[in-house]
Amino acid sequence: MADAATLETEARVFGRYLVGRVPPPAIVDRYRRANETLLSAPVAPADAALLDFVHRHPWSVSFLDAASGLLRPANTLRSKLLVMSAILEASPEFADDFLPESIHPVGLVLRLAVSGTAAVLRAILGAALLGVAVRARA
Amino acid sequence: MTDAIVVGSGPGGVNAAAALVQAGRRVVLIDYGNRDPHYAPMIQERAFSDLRRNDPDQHRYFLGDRFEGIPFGAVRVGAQLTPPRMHVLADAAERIPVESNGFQVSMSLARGGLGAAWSAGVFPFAEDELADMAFGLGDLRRHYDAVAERIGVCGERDDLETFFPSSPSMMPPLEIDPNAESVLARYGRKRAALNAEGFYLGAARLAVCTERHRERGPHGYLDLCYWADLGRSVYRPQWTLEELERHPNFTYLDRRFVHGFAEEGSGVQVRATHVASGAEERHEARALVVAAGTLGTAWLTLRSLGRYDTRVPLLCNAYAYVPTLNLGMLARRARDRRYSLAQLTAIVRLPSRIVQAQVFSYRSLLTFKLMKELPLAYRDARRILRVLIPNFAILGIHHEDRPSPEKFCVLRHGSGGAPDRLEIHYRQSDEQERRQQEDERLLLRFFRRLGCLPLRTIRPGHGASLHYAGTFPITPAERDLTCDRDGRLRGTRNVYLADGSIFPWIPPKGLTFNLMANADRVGTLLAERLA
Repeated sequence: MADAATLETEARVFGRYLVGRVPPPAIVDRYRRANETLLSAPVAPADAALLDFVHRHPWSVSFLDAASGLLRPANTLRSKLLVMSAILEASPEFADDFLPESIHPVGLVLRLAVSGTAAVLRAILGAALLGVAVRARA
Repeated sequence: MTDAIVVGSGPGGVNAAAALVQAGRRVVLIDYGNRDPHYAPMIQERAFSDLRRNDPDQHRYFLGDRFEGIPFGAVRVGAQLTPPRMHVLADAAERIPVESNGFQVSMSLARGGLGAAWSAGVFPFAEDELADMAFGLGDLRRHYDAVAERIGVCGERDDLETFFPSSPSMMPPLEIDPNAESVLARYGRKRAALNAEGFYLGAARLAVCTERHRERGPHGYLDLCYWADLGRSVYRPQWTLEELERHPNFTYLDRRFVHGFAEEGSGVQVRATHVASGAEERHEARALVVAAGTLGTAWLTLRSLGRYDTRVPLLCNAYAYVPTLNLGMLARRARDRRYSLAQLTAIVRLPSRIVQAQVFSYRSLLTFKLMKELPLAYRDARRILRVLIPNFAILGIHHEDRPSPEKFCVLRHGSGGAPDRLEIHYRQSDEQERRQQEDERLLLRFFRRLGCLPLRTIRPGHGASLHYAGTFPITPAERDLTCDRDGRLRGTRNVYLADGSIFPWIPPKGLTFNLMANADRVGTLLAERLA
């Protein structure tokens, strides 16, 4: 399992990616504890390579997450992002980033179109990057 | 001497005990009795959104101190088993080991049993459904009424009245949310045509107090039904147990694991282990009522009778859930004031059966649990779900179940000092699965006409409904390992069963209210016999 410093860096990278803001120290610490509790098992080599790539290239997380969601939904990167999402959601600072909102149907269609298009593009780019990332450390 | 020992404090146990105590019998209820002293005190009586925005400690109960509320992999059983409810399953798997071929098992040793996490649906069986069960509505009606009064039931006398006979004590229904209002409004406009085709929709009947009743309720619309028992408006068997504990004829012995019984002379002796000390105890009474939950009762009964390696049937309602996009909600705003349980109930009447679905809205079980179900980057999933969730109408669909040679459980000797274990084999026939899928397609066609577009059908697997039943069915014929009409286990003089075990088949309706009514019936008949 990653050391505490690596997990804390991960928490900041994932927080910025998921909600656009660096989480405060209490949430970083909670993420570290959650990893120690839930994700202490040895990581498969391919998953370790992917995480290593994300640590070295934080900009890549959105692409690799999108590709993993389609191609490898149970990998360790996705599990860690799920843990960070849960921790952010259950924090007052980020509650409004997760609470459902009712918007006008036109706004809904626009939101779906923009987010959907972005998701597809990210997944396409991420699929190419996923192969590079998994082989990078090997 | 004690008149009756009741084993288990779940929905069956407390209602059998209540009937006995009301009739003046002396009752001892023996129970393992796990509780949650940890999370419940943390949850303040404030609206869900208020807690989310303001409580810095919310992660402790929403995620759990050991992060046990973060599910990896597919959600298999009730998503309503949130950290404050997880004590309901504690210790059961170690005490009563179960092996199965993929059948999901949830047993409880909690105070209140599985009823401590019940989703409170009230679906009394109709006359035609009871016809195959060796008793009729006439036998059960007064027990339905007694239990409805005891637990507090709310609902509307609407199009569902034919399918769910109501009781005189029924309280006004809960206020449904705008999502359900829009579906119900569209149903109202097409009602005649839909009814002619066999589709009916109405307010969900729930064991929830909408008025002050027995020191409980009314419901506060805080949207915390899956997290806390605020105001005790949602029924839990513990509430009846507390009432019983105030009665001089009643004794509650908790922290005991009952592992055997035997008939001795004119009475019954129960063997139990004290959980804390490990001491062995024996308790005696004139009669025994076993209500340890269908699987717990199967383990205890087969073990006590020495019936190892003997098959008994097992039933469980097949279950699927279908998130739909409710177009009628697009022009509406969600309300903060709401409850989390089922909003509506739908019935499709077919020539030989019915299909039943409940309609839920989604919010309080948290967004991240849905994010992981989408094949999207988490950030995109969050953005999309935030605006889609208010428009989701989630259908929970139940199917009937009947016995077959491929659905059974067997008690096996434990090896090397391990406890005896239940083996469960459960396989539906291809024909049964095909019929269920056909029924789901038909139901979804009706919901499309109500503006609800199905997104995906999720089948969480056999056992996921938790509606286990049918192990020692009531049958008119004298058969080994069955019960007579009074719920007495054949081959015994004074052992009665009062949980899901006795149902010879299960309609596609939640079983809990029915097993409570039957437990009340068993307790009433036994009280008369013991008089």
